[in-house]
Amino acid sequence: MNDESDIQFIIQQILNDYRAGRLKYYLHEKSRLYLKQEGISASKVLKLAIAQLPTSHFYRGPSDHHWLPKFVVYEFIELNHGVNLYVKFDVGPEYTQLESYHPQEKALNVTWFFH
Amino acid sequence: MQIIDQVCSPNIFGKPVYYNVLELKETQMIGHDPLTNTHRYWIPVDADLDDTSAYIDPLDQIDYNFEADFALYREKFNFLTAAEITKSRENLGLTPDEAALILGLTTEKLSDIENDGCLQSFDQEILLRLLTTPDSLHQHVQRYHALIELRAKQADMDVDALFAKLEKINAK
Repeated sequence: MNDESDIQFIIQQILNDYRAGRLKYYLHEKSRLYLKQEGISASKVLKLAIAQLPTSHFYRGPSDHHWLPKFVVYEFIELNHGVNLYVKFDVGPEYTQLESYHPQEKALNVTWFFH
Repeated sequence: MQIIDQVCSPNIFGKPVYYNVLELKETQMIGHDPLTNTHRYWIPVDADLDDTSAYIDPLDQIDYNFEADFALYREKFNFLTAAEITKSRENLGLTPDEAALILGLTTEKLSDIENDGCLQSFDQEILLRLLTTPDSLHQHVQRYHALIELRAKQADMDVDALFAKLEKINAK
């Protein structure tokens, strides 16, 4: 996906899910450890991820989720206090879940689409 | 590691998914400092118990481990609790906007700390302690009077009322 309107559409869908209480926390070890190191709670990270989403870099997606058949995965890079954060949302028919929120590990070898 | 319970949580299709609830002692970096605490996780019953990548925070209490870690950290390192910060600020009669401005924090950060959304850093703890010591707070306000006044004006606060309130705190 590299069309700006498509990206804006999916961002809007994630924002809508958040506003409707349909954004769920589903972070694993790497993200949890980062949050604790930074002193950020699970509840707070949902707000942070959403607040920065409109100004993020779209990185990749949609791609199939490895174990949720009706979910598709969208990945973003969000800048927070000088740190590039890798943020992954699993977007499903009934809700969206935040699956990753941690510093980007390696340089991205893709052309970024800044929206 | 100890399995303490088994719970069921429906997936998106309403199908029940069973999880083991386990507790284990871990040392993790909390606020950039190592801290050992007992954590609680859910793991699908068919997953390998040693596969820590499959552990998830309790879906019915996603802040459970965070709150436990933040509470232990504050206790161990003598930091103010979220409730103590709120109580100190309210005892001084300061609104979150006023307290944040005086301490050089954002209102959002102060609210996050007061509501347990964030653990205060050491730097922030030193500032927040001023709320518990009116004499030190008064010295702080005197020292940074010009900057506090400037920022209060920029924030459209009633500067005279704010400083009158601060003088009243000092007079108590």
